[in-house]
Amino acid sequence: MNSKISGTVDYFNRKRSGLPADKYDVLVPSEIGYTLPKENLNSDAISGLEASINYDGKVGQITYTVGGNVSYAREKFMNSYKPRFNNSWDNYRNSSENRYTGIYWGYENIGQFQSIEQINNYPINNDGQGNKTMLPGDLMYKDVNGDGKIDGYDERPIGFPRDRNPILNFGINISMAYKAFDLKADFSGGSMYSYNQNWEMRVPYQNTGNLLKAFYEDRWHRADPLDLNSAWIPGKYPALRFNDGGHSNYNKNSSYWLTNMQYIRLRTFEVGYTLPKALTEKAKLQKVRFYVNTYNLFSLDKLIKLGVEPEIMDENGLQYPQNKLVNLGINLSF
Amino acid sequence: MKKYSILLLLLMSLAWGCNDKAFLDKQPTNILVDSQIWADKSLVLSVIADLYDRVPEFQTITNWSEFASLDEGFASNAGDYGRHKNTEYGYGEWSNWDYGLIREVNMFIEKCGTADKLDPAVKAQFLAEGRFIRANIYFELVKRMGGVPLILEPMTYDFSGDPTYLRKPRSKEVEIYDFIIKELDEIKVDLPKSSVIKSRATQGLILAMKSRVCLYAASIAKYGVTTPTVTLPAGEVGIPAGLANGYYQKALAAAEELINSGDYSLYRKKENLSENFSNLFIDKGNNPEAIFVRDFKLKSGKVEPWTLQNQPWSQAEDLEGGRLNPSLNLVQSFEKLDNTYETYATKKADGDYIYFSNPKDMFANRDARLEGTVMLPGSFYKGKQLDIWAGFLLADGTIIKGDNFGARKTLPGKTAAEYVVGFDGPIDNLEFSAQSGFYVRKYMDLAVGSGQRGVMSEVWWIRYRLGEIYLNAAEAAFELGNKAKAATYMNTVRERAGLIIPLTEADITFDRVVHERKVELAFEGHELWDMKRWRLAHIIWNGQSTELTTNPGKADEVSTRVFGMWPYKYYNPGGANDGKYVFQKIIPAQVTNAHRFRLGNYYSDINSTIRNNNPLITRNPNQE
Repeated sequence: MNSKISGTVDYFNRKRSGLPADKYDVLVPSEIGYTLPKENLNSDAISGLEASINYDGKVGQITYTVGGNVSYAREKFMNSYKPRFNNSWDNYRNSSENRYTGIYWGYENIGQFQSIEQINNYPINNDGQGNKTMLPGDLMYKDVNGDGKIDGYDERPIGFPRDRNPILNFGINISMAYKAFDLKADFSGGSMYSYNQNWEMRVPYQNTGNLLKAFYEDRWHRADPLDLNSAWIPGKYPALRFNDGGHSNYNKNSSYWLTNMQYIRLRTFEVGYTLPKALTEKAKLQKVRFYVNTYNLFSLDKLIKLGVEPEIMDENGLQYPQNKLVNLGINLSF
Repeated sequence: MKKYSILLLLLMSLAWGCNDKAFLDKQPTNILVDSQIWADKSLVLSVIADLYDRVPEFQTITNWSEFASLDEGFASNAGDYGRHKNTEYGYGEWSNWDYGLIREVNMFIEKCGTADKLDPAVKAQFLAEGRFIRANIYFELVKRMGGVPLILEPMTYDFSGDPTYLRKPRSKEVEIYDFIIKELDEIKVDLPKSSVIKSRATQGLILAMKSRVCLYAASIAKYGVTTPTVTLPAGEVGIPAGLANGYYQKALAAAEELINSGDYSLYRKKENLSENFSNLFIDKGNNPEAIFVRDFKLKSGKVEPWTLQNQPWSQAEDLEGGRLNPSLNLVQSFEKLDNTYETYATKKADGDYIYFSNPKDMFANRDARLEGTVMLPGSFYKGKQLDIWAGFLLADGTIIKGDNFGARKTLPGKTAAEYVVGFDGPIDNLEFSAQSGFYVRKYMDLAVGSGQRGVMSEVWWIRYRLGEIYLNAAEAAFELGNKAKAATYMNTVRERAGLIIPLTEADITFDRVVHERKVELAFEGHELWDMKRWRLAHIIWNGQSTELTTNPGKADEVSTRVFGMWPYKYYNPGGANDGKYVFQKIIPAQVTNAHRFRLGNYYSDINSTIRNNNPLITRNPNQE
């Protein structure tokens, strides 16, 4: 293809064995006066793929290069020393044997109550208190095991890890030149990770503080807040409660508060214009170039609605975001 | 070619560098290794100093609150009120299984035995000290747990997967006592005979400890028969009654050898007998009575907070103090100077109060140890009078008091506000106030700054003193039937406290023995172990909320709750008694439950982790 396309592909699978752990079944008398050191017992692995590709092209007077890269890396716990479980549920829920790490467990949200009648006739004990704390707009959870109540046995894997880098990362870079104009753009993005809303991002008036604007603007509420008989106006978020983190809407990790993340952002962007040489030589300059470059100009992601940015990890959203910069500049070469 | 030769040279120099042993074998700069320590006696001393310091202790001046766990004191500290609300002592209370420390001591002994760079006499002394510390730890263990596995060498697991060969069963309780006595006998010759050395083992200390150890073993043998269920079939708990006399004889012999050696004498430096008694504990200059102490030093980092934590609030040098309040239970136990017991009378026969112009008059003509142990209303500390009074008592019986130190209110018939409570309280539920009406004096430092957090105190903690040895001798002699001798030893201690009418042979009873230790050794960490070995603990702390005994000289009177006694100023303008003091006996508001010491408390719980790790370990009795 005339060397227009170049690229690499790497596959890796790193296994580690002999990770330190205790042998729980060797009981040494306390009277020896020291505890045993850990032994080399456990194992884990990280496997993944990295690939990149570049294409150089030309259309008329436009020369351009387009490149992309992608990496996928996922950690798996392999074996621990003689794993033991109390029962099959314990095994299912708490085992890490031969499983990906960081799997996010929680409740599956299957909708919101639409009316008082629906709550009154709802067969499943949704809040653990016979639904007496439920209002229209409150979250309904899936009774996975069908026992008529929502409890810890209804937790299932609902998402990718939230506390680490995205499993899938990718980037796109483009550069173009047309006559005296040049342009460069870098996009980066990630996928296969979760953002969990909690604390300030979940509970209205958390710690008697403030609440998210979105919670206020689009919520279930009565037409007249002073009239208990007025109609319920539907909204996106549940009705506001004051700093009530113990309520079933808020005390459970659920798919309602979890965002399965994908994002792509324009990391850097630059356009430039170089003055014609004839003009610059008159001023005894070799080159004059005007440019505008930006850093983090925009991102396409699912957290815009919450006002936080996709590359933060803190569940309360109180993390300092990345800066957005716009620079104007002139390059002069003498 | 030149390029290659340079590269070759570089490689060679690297290889040469790596072969250099001195390069890789670096001496650590942040720790000392065995070969360094065992070549220098001052380094060995620092190792053994650490071991001395870590011998477990229950009640001591660095953990004041434990003195409020029994009946000697009330804890005037918001975080410790729970001590007076517990319904019963947990079985795990007072337990100890610190075989990590024993391992370290065993390693010390092992390494000391093979050290070849120390002077033989120095080495022998270190070895003896190591064995003394080990015996001391086993004494602490046997007091708490009964017989324990006797581990005399550091054990190491070989990673074979089968650690069962490391399992050692509990020894009999009597075997542990015999082991301690044997060790003490064997190491004595290697220790210095000096009464100047106080914080290391000496020959005097060996005798002192031996008298205590034998006395404990003897009394467990003798009084264990009163609690037949507090035994285990294999003898891990309980000592055969037949052995009692032998141990009493050993206890008496050891105590008498020490007393007769003349190396130590009772502290008599001050004319005022109360001051003399309190000085005994804080005078570190040529103190003839102290035998073995845990020492402290200002500006060294090793200071103790007793004075800071317990200083009277009215003259506190920092924002705390007043925590340990001696109980009326203890305060009323001090005899009158005519050797009789008398509880404090607050009212006359006709029901009217007894009025005192000076609140201290209430406590006049008592055993001098009372004011040497306790700060009373009207007492002085650091040259200043305490301000303990709870409020005004009006003629109609109304009480006017405040809810903070030195609170002010306007009395009826007056226009200006005035103080209605002392700057030391007592005020119920107000921490640091004298909620029982008393503050503690024993071990209270008189040095300026001792009540400041940034300074604190270097007063030492006396672990053994001659006063106790006299009482050990008296008790052993009494139990052996030699009441005359018991009276002599007891009178020596009493005479120093101003009780100059000697007790006669006929006066010496078990009650007297128990009582004398109670008043002489209050706040010295003896009470729990004494009550356990006499098998009195489950009787006096029986969980019943009874009133304060009117018979403080009786050994088995119930004392499950701590009581107090508060002075009030009498307010009756124009009346004869206006401005005088009256007293009311009270129970502090935070005392809501009675102590219950169950039969299972005599030997503390050996927890399930220990028993799982070594199935040969049997459980202590009465804890199902």
